[in-house]
Amino acid sequence: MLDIAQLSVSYGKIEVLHDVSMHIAHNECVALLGPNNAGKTTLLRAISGLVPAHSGSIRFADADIRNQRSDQIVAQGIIQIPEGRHIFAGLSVEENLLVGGARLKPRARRRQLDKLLDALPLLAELRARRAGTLSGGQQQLVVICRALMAEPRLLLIDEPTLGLSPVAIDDVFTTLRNVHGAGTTILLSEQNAELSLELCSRGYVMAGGRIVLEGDSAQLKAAALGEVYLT
Amino acid sequence: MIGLVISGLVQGILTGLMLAFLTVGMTLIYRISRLTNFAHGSLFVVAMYLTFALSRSIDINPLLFALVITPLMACLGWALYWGLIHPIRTRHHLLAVQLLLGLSFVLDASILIGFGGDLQSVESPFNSRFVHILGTGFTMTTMIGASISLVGLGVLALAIQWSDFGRHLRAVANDNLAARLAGLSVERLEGLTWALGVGMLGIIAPPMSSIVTLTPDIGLQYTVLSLVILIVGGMGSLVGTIFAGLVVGIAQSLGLLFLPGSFGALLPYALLVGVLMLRPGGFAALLVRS
Repeated sequence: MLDIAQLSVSYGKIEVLHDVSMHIAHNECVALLGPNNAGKTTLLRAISGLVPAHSGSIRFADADIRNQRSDQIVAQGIIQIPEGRHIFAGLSVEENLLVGGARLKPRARRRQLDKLLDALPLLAELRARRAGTLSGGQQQLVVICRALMAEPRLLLIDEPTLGLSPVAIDDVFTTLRNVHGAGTTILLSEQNAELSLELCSRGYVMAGGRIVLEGDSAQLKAAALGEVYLT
Repeated sequence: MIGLVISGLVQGILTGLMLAFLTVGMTLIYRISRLTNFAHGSLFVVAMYLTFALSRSIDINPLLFALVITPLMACLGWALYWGLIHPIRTRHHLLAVQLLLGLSFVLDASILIGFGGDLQSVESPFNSRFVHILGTGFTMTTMIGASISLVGLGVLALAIQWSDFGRHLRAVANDNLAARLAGLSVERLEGLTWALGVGMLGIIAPPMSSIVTLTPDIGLQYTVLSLVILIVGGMGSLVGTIFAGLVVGIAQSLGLLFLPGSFGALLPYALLVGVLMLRPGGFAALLVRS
């Protein structure tokens, strides 16, 4: 579904991603692991078209999407949940979700909204609240649902549990498990290797802007690289 | 005395509505692009001179020229964004400020070259018809200008709150990155906002051009006045801008009535200094607190 080959990305003159190659099949859940500054966020941003890639290719469903505009990439069904809870704080919960479905026709958007609110009664209760007044866990849930409003084919998730309480982390992972169970392909960048390898079947480990290891979850766990890469 | 105060208040409210409408385009542009349009006043003067030019060649009520000037100004706003602002959007924001200030000088000079430096005014049949409010007569032009502003501000507030465009505009203002990742074309929205913000000048220019005296050098005055209202209102708040427009309008009109000489005209600026010292967030901050 997603094929990345020899991708390199630079900020100014400094190359931060070197020759990254990666493959994600339809319906897979793939973990992206590695320490801070390994290049995980940059990789996700390059896929979403937020930073330009100067060489290599990113193919999605057999079309080259490298250096397309971010709205064109979203239109093809690649939706990113960025790091750091980027919520529209001044908008209500419902408005946040509606913006997530911006590319749908009004009627389809309403339908999708009702579907999500039916599935998550908690959000239905909060729909009129200003999103900025919610707790961290609730905000993260809104941000995930905002992404789901766009009917994603591939969901890129960047550090969804950063700064959340253990209970909220459980909620987030339960939601992600349901989303994956419903047939959405996921690429999950997460510091918590243990949790993400439970959810995902396969993973890549990044360090210093390169992919240094790949394998299925059991292999990655067995590699016992916890000390080096997985914390 | 009481009568004078009341008539000053009404005059201030009518002028304030028009000033608020004049400024609100600047507010929207600031809100979505974080850019202060320093050419706003000059663009407004361009729209007023367009009214003047049309009124010299076509003999109909000048208010009708809004139908032509509004789309023209909207196209100009759109072109300004894509031609000047978009190419430098990732550079230092002072570059855009310099560019817009430069543009205002170019526009002022172009008007001077095209129309000369003489005082001009746009004749309107509505200038000699009066409406009486609480014992004071106001020209029909003022009444219509204020009414258009009131209705326009109301429609705009509803659109910002309830339309897709308004929701998307607020989303971009809240969090640019998240808006991009939700699939919004931020550049397109910014272009539309420039078209809207500059286009609105075409609605208010015809009535204003029959109220004020036109000279090519008043652009900067309007920019500064709009800037005062933008800041007093709280940089980017729609409701704040409307309040600030009314307060500045009333301050100006009462100041002219009760303060000696040209001190009255200084009152809005004194207000600016006061607000910046006491409540730097402007009226918007006050509204949020309460």
